[in-house]
Amino acid sequence: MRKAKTLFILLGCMLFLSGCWDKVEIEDRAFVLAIGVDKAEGPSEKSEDLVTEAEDKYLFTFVNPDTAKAEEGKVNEYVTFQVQAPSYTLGITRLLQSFSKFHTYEHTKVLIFGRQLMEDPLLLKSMLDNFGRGHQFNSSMYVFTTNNRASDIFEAKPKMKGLLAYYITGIADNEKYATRVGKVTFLNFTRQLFDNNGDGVIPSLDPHENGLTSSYLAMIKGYKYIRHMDGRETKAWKWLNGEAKGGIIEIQDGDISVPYNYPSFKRDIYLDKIENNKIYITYDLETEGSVEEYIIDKKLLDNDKLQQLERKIEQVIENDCKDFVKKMQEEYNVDLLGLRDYLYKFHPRVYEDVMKDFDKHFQDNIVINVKADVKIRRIGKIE
Amino acid sequence: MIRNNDTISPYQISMIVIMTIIGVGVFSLPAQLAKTAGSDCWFIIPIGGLISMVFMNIILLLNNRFPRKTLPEYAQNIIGKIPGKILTALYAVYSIVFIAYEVRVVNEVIKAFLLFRTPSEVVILSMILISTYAVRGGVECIARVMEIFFPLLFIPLILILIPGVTDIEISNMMPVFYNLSSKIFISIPALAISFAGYELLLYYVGFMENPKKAYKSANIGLIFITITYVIITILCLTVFGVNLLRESIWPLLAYVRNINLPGLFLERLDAIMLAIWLFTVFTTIISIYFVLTYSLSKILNTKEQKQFVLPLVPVIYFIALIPDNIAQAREMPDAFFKYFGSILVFVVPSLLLIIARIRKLRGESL
Repeated sequence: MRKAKTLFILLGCMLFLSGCWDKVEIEDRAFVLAIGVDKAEGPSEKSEDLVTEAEDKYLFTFVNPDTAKAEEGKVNEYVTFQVQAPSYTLGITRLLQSFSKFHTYEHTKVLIFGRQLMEDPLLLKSMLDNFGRGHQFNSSMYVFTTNNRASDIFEAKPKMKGLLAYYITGIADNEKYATRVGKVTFLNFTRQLFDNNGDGVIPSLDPHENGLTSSYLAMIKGYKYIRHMDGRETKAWKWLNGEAKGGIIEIQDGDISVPYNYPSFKRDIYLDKIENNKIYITYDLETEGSVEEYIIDKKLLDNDKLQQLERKIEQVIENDCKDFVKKMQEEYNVDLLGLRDYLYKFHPRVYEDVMKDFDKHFQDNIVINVKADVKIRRIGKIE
Repeated sequence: MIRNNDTISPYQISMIVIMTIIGVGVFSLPAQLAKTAGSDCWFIIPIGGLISMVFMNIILLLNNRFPRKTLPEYAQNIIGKIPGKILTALYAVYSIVFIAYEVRVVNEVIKAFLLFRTPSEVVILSMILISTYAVRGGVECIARVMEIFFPLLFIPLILILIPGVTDIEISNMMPVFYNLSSKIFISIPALAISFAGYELLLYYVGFMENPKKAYKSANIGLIFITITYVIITILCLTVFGVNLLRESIWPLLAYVRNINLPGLFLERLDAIMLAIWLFTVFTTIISIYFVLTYSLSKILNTKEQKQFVLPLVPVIYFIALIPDNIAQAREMPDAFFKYFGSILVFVVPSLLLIIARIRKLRGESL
């Protein structure tokens, strides 16, 4: 009886343990490190499984590490796969028809939207939904756009050997040293657009012959790409939004170039007063840092000198920011200053008044002043 | 009344309160509150906790009037034999739907995040069948399971939540207390499902040697839950912001999914999170399951509750499969817990206590 019982249990184990529906061996997985999404070009693929003919809308590019070329356990080569489809899921299905592995996205680092895609609100919104809704995607991947097609990014040949996705995350992490470098995770990017009715910025990553460069932000209004900012505007945006994590501000002292190095940048917004239907807002920018480049036969260890330099830096910041604010208010009429967010959070009653016609109020009734406060704390190791 | 000498200690009562109440609700709670209360969602929870505490203490008062007796026993005493049995049957119905709902939501989450191709039948049935094993062990076994699982659940939970703190944006909690009064009344019902479970004390306190000790431990349990909920809600709110949080179905899982631990082989923690969460749902299910079988044994006047455990499996399974999709599964608690549930949790115990006072009924004193 006992033997029969044991046998029964063993047989039961065999029956139940073999039936794992979701087992995918690690060898059968294709780790997607980066995804590029472009607007489709060229004729649509004729698909027989569709009742109504849907046009191909997207061109997807997937970057997988080439595990066959691994050296000493490290993979440095990557391969890209492209597919055109009317939707993401259909694209994957089409790709799988000629693909021996199964895509997994746990390690996806980078998501790149092509320029044409960004210009089409419908396509952009669909893709934001797809990557936010799909259970397989993580929300900590970095999001970029580019000045042309996303697929061009993956053809870049960086000088240092390595996986392209880690090259890109490396650039993004340099945001703490270079203000103009952009870094935003998918979660923060969608949150920004969500909180601001589809207005926001996205960092741009542009290919050139030696690799990739991230030095501009692109403006989005109503889920639609408008234009690339220039370097000054990019910096001003980062300062005004409290997103600057570090960088330098270069000023001229006579003929000498003086780079001011700041490791942090603080921003505060204040609502000063409301008068005659006008809302007066002050942006208070505060930073402290060091100057570690001057000229050898002049002394920098001098309070008056330092204060004079500080005033100059403050002027640079204030001018850049004021120009940016003016452009946003008068030319583009888009709130990229975090103002909507500020009013909603800290002055909900004021926000309720301006909420309905925010763009119009932003253009006509909001007066913005920028004040900078710069402190040079250190000057390096010689006088 | 013959019992199998099952007794529960005051510490175990705390565990039962905590592990029963924390169930499927915790995953969706921040989003549901954000819909009605906006950025004040975290503040609604202590209010809900206070309300729950009042009614939980009414239940405890009732139980202390009839020491070492459970609801099916003293209900027959207070309102007569047949009405008492009908009342017990109502609690049984409530329990069975509660279990089915828990199992169904577990199934939806598991299918959406972990086991995409595994059939729902397997997920649901394995969940219920494992619970039957614990429930057949009786009340003492259940209390011990809670005791064992408590550290297994909360220590890893805290460890998992910590790495996500880097993404916090405190200003997302603003504006605080804006239009608060208008938010409270529409938000409290959303808490019904998240705080549901302490009504089971109507049964469990009856197994205590000295029910007076239940006051302290049950209240500690409820405070613990309130704090846990507040922390989780604040974390989700500060990471996602109100607008994104509203859109999320399972914000806690999304929170864990957003964590990136670079350099580790296990870059994503959501699988661990789900595994931990299964503990909480499992303990919720066994706790209600026992109440269900115990009620049935009292209605049918049997000595044991064991024999009812297995026959109920297909019934629970069937009820769990009734909702067609995730949208229906989420509507289920709205109608069920808000009305039927609140009557059983708030109205019935208070009425029983009042009637017992008027008729000057009391259990044997200690």
